[in-house]
Amino acid sequence: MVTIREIARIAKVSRGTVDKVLNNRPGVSDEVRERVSGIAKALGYKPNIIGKALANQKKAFLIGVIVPPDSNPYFEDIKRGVNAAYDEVKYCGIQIDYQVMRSLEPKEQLGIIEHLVDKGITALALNPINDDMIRDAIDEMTGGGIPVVTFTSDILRSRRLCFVGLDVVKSGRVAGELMGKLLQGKGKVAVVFGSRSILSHNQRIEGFTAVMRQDYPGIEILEMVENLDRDDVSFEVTLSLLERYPDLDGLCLMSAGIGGAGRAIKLAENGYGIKVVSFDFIPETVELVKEGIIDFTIGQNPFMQGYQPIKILSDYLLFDRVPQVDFYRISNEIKIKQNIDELYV
Amino acid sequence: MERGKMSSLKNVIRVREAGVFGALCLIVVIMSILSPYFLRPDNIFNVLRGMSTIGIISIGMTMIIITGGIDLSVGSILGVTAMFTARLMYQGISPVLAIFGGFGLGCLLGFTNGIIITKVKIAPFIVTLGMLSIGRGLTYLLATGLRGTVASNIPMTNEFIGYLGAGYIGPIPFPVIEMTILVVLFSLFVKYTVIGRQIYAVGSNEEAARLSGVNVDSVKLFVYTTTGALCTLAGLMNAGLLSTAATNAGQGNELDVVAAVVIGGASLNGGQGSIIGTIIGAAIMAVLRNSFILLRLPAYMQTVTIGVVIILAVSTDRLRKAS
Repeated sequence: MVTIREIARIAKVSRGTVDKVLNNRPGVSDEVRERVSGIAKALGYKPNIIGKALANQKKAFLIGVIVPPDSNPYFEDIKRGVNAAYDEVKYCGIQIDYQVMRSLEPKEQLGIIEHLVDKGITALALNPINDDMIRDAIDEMTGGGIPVVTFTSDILRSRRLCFVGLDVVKSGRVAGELMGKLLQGKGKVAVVFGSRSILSHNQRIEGFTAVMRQDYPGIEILEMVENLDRDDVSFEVTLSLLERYPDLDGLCLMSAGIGGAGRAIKLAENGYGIKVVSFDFIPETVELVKEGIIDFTIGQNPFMQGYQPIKILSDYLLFDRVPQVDFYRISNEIKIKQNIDELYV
Repeated sequence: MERGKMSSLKNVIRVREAGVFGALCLIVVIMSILSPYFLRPDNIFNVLRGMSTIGIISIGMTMIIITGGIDLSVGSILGVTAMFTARLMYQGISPVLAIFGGFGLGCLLGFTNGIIITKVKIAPFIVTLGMLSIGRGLTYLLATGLRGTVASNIPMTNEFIGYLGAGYIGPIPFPVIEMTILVVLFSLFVKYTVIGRQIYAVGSNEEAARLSGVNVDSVKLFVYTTTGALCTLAGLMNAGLLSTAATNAGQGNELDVVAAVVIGGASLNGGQGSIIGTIIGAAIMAVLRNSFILLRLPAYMQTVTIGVVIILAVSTDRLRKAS
């Protein structure tokens, strides 16, 4: 087993310098950094994780987690992810303090942050409210040695360690690719989405249409209609689409209102032949995938959005490992009839 | 003299209905020019099906507005009764009992509105505004605890309820038939039964009605409770059609319903209005909604339009009375 002492001896530097290099900390010249990491690599140096964990047991690490109100099933899955990560790191002396907000008020979030700091958190993972006072709090914590990871949505120009979330445009591209393959590159599609006033819906459309334009020029997007995320509106607009375009081949359901759209597809004469790609895993979507009405449904993987921040912060606290990227992209989950039952285990 | 007064009153109503019907025809003509799909039979049936739940609730709302009241809680009662029924079924209660349970809840909430309005004598719009919030809150609470602790829609898979909302008799959607039957029944009811006539009497002059022996409180309790029951039917139809009891089902429907009633010629001061007029009003709302879809207009423009239409309808009523 190669030790830091050996590397230091060969490189003719101090153990502190080797430690800085191995943990990507500043304060070492590029020339020394290159030489030391070269030697470490040549000797096959691996950090002694157990040793570090044993050393860390003396310290207490407390990671604060702040999520928005419990009105959305999405955040239940995020919580499951947080818990799963916690199960993996709790033996290394890491504790979690999970805080659920009651509103979307920046002031409330700031209050929770202050409360957690008073409790002595050593790191924070939060779904930030986009407000200057939250950004300032994040910067202040970072300056004070408390690393912060944002998840699900980011806060621009803050000094957070990294952001864990979904590339929404990419999700739209995934939907486009699936549709393109389902239709084998030719046909007519329509899109039903929530609202033009919701950023993420526009981003999904952007990704979807980009793939169609670049890779599937044989597919024509006939219409994109809003359903305001409501089932009743969704039913009416979807049925109207199906009736006005008897030769429609594909339908992309970009947001909620899936139950209503599903009924419209079942009622329309041409409904059963249509290829359908949807988003998320609400109960109605699961039913429709099982019935074979929806071919693919694309999930936002909220589990990983809860899991990764805890892992990243644990790695940082335990092993000084700095995340390699500023935006940690979570990849989409794609579910079909054969694996839709694997949800919610 | 009395007879002459009655018939001139009837004429005013008839004229008003004819005017509203004329407006409907005008919109239909314009739309059939603007969109080649508009007059196709399947689209016409869509419009009729689309107006059926609003139409059915509007029957109850017409009676309430004739008594001089208003019910802002109809959308919430629609939502909560459907969610209650779905939740009972989800818990394994037999569908028949669950449906009775839904109607029981609808009647209870309507009755509660009526009791507070008549006994505590609070303005109907305040009482029912409170009930709007209570009903919606209950909907979310009933939808909670299925997956973890959060509220989510409950899929509605019952075949009978599915038929109520999405069935057909021949080419005609079943909801359209349900609405037609109820419109005929209630039109006859308000015209030929004692309670039906008392509804108008209460709205024209409550004190005079009381002095001539009408049990004003009973009449009001009747209209609010009946509306609760009609909301339940609409809620089940809605859940059956969309195959889901949604937490936001019926949200904002009170505006469509009030709009249908005031467009249809009922006076918010009470004493005046007809179910036929209301149904024409509901048809105008449905055609407008369909037009927004066919003309690809932004969905939120519809929300703005409903507000404009309500204010316009009430304003014309006022101006007509003033002149």
